[in-house]
Amino acid sequence: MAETALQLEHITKTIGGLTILDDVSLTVMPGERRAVIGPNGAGKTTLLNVIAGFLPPSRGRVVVFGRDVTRLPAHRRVDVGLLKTNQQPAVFRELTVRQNILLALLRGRHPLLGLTALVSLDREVQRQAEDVLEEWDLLAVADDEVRHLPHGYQRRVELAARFAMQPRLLLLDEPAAGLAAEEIPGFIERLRRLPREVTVVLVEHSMRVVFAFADRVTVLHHGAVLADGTPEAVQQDERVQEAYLSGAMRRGHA
Amino acid sequence: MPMEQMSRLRQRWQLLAYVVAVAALLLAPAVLSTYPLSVLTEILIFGLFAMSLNLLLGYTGLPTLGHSAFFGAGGYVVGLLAKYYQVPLGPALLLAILAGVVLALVTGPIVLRTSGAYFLMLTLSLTQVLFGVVWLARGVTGGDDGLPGIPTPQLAFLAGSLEPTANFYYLALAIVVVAIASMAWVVRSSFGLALLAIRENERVVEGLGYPTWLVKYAVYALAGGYGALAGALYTFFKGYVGPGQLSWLVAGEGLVMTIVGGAGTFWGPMVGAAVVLLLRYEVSTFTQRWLLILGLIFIATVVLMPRGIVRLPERLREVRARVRREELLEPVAGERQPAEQVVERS
Repeated sequence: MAETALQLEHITKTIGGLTILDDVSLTVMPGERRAVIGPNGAGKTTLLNVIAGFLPPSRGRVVVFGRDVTRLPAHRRVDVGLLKTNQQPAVFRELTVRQNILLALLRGRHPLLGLTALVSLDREVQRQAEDVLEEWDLLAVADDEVRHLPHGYQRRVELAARFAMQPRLLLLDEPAAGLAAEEIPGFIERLRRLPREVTVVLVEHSMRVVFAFADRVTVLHHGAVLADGTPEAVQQDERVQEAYLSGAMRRGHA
Repeated sequence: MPMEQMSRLRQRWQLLAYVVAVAALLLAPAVLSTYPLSVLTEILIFGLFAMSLNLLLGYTGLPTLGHSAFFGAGGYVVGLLAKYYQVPLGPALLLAILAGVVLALVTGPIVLRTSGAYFLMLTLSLTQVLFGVVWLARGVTGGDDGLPGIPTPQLAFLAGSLEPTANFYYLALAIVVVAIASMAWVVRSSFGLALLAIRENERVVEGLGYPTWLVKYAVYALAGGYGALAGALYTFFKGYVGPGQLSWLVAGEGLVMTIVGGAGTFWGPMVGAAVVLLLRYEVSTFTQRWLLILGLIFIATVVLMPRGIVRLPERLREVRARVRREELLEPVAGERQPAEQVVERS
């Protein structure tokens, strides 16, 4: 059997007596694009945080590329090739775009926590940063602080930094949220250009993005896996339609 | 590119400013009489202290009200060594720095469990504990009498030609310059960039694969070392060390200097130290209420220049940059959907 990219085994997460995740198991193969969907409050973001190491699971195991990372702190999971983006872009708002990219490129590059090298004198990393900025069309705003930029730019900075670190497993938490409608096709195009060496787990509300990008879809409902399959199969699944519909009726919107 | 030219021009101005400042500091003893020279010495020492505090407050976003622990620890170490063991200057200062680092390494695991206001309270209480210990250990520390009569070290090669105040001024200047240069290395290293990022969002730094706890522990130890060095110089300068040097009032004064001058800027705390001490010594010659004036200045800077005095030119540049950026982004802004404008405003 080929090594799996991500394997969740019976993940349960309870917070203050409330079960957020209930015995979630799923397997993602290398190179796969997996979407996790579900109504609000289904536990999707919690699931990503458990995988990335920001929340310890109450029970169960997280295995990334054959390695049990359940007890590993978040920063050590980056060594395994795991990176995550957040709903609010995970950027440093008062740093410049260039500094944001440099932080990604400088991680673990110099000994003694980076005390041994001046950033401005590391020509190679400066050049790499320049390349990343150019590739993501961020050169014009390279020396502006991120907080001054529109949301779409901030998202681009976040993704550019993560892609620059060449992850093997990328977790995207609602990356299309907050993007303007006309920005979404370009965004999907970016995701599609990711090499197949990268495995992607995507939580997304925009069905447009999910169906354009995902190979398989996992549906979470009340913290448990409701359905798992190709986008078409999941779309036809009656339980899924019911879950979404009942959620819509209860909340008065889709 | 015009951007590059601009930054090169700025660099040249900066270099010029450094040269002028160094020349002025070197010539100061020729111009200033003993009293203003001693004030200048104190500014240098407190400037170093505030800059070390700024590593925590300004760069890493850790507000401490206990930094005087290191200032006092460095002072007592050189005080005891110089008074009872006649340890020469160099080793005494190195041991003081070591004491600051060790103190930080011991207390770090406790205080770094927290952040924000809790960090502030924990650093404050640990410092008060140290204050109490020093106060009670009368046999060693002299209790509330402190240790008087600590000989002020002198630069041997200038001993004949300069009077003691000027001599010690040069000694302090040399040590402070070396310390500040090493600090400049720290904040411009990739470690320094990680500090800024932790200030912005520690969790995101963690998510990028940085061992954030270890980075904070390291900067806490460094700040402790620099703080102790400043304290050691201060003890030599005064020829005395007492529990007052450990008091949270000193830590608070360091905070005021840092914030007035500009937390998170490199030179801000030095400027802040100059402002606070000049106010204390100059204004107090014609009114007892210099603290009132300091308070008003503090409020004025926090309200009008929330990021400190030295950020004023930067702030003007920022406004200009915003105008430029708005021109740049104009076409995008026009097409933006209402939803996104909401996101931006929030």
